[in-house]
Amino acid sequence: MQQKIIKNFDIPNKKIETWKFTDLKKYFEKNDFKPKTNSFKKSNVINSNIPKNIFFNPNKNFIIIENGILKKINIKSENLEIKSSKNIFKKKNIKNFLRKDSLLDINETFLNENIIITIKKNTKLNKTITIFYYNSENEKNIINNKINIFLEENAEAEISEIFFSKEKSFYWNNVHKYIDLKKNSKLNHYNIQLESKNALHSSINNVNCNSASTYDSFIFSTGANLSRIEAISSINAEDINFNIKGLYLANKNQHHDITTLMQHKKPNSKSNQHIKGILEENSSGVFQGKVIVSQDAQKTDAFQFNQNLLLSENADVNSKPELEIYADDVKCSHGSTTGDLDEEMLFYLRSRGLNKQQAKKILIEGFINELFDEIKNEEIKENLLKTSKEII
Amino acid sequence: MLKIENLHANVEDKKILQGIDLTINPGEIHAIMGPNGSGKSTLANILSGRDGYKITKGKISYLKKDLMNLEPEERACEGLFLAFQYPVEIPGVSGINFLRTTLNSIRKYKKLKELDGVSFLKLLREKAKLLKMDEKLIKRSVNTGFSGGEKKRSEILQMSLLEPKLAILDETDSGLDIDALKIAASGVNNLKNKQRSFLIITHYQRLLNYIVPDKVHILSEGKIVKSGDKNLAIELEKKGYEGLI
Repeated sequence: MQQKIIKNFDIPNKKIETWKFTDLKKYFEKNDFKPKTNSFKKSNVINSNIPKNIFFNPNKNFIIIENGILKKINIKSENLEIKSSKNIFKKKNIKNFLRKDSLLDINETFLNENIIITIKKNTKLNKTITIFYYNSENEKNIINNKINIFLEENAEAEISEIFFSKEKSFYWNNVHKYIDLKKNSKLNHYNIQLESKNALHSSINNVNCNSASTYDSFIFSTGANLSRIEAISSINAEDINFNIKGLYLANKNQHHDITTLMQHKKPNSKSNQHIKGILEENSSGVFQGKVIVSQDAQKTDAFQFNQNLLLSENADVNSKPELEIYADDVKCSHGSTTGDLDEEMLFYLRSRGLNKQQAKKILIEGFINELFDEIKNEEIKENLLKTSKEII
Repeated sequence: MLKIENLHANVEDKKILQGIDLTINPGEIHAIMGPNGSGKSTLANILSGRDGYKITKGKISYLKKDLMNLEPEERACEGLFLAFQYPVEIPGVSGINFLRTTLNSIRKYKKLKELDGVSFLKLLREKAKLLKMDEKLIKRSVNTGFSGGEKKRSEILQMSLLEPKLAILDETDSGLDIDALKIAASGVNNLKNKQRSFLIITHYQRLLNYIVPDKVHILSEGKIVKSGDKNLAIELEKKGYEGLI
């Protein structure tokens, strides 16, 4: 029954402009994924058996979602509310976002868990919140979860999401995050995708920014066979500061896609996107970034930059930064570079006694470091550096 | 130490070096002077092993080995050092880690014990202090955001750390003010000994007021047209290239 229903959805494919470089449908059809059928069980009491993870700390706030089911909520901070809810707000809260695709409909139709995180007014959260998504099954399930994050006025928080799995497990993780930042609130958001190499990962981050709010995000994407991470954001008011930094690190035949859409609707806000990619062996990468500055959004400052390092002749990248500007008094720039390691730098290092391999390694680490230097949380920075070094 | 015989080299199809003969013995300081385009930097690049040059005739032996058979990193490990005319910026690579990795790589090649973090830092601080180099600068990414003078000083610091057998300074004086020039020269003079040789490539005589060369050569159109002692540089300063070539 369910199988028929999923097949009625128009799975994103190359015919859709924003999916030109990532054919999810092809992968979907080849693997015959089926939606996982469970929802809203009272499962909070069940103990979870997820393996140790370098990002795990029992003394902090955390949520564990195992194979799509909510297993544990651990709250250690005051003025923080985390609950599972049937209220999915329908489509009301995504009305602000220009781009919607069938992934959202699939997510809503087959939803497994809907979690609401609220950080109360005037609260600076003393401890970070980590959401662990762990998968260990091989049934080719489509797992649909939705996370709603609300920061009330003057609230400040740090939220990390860690997607990880038992080796070789096979599933499609389809996550929708709706983030609402009220006046003067501030969110540090880490999106760390370490899914199984068989998995499919799709996540949509809808960020709704209100007056003088700050959103800082870091996306780290290295797991899954095919991964698409979207950040579709709406700048609804003035004095907003919006930053997305990210790295996709792919090898073998992985395909990694980071797609962003920034809608500047009101004046005097800033957005900054800096995405890097490292592609080895037969892997492919995609960066699609679009900034739309409405007529109203004067004095907008929008910056967008994508840099890719191709470490093999068989690796490739499609980079498409775009600006669509309807206001006349704005500062906007975008750029994209793709290439091999810099010959001049390699020669410089070799002339100091390092062999080719050592010199390459240092340059790749430098390429990563330049971006990681902007990560505010030292512990996360170290863990990501460690994870990256293991892959390269 | 270094023996260059009848060296001819091209860049693409253009003849740049057209028969260079030069012998540098241990402990000697040689200066090569010459106008723009005379082939000075080409010579330095060929010695360091940079790609893009084709040797059409002649040979170079370094420590009795055929230099052309050695990779750039092998030359460095064998004690050849080039202070770059335009040191490259490497964002994201910490200066300290870079220096320690290179020093240890060379020590390993020489079968010496690698330095641990503490002893390395101690050594680095001593050398940096001699060159009046701000420690903050070394902690940054390699050469990134350095001024022209800071980059050159960083090259001299690397030279002091790696203690080469033959150091080639490619226009290290260009872009330096007089104070920085004196410090760079002191870096060379501190290292000077009976075994270590230097090849100093420069446009101007200025640097040679502080580093006294044993021999001065004038390069023109890919050939050494005149050689002499330190007085040749002084004469050149008076008469200009046109008066001498």
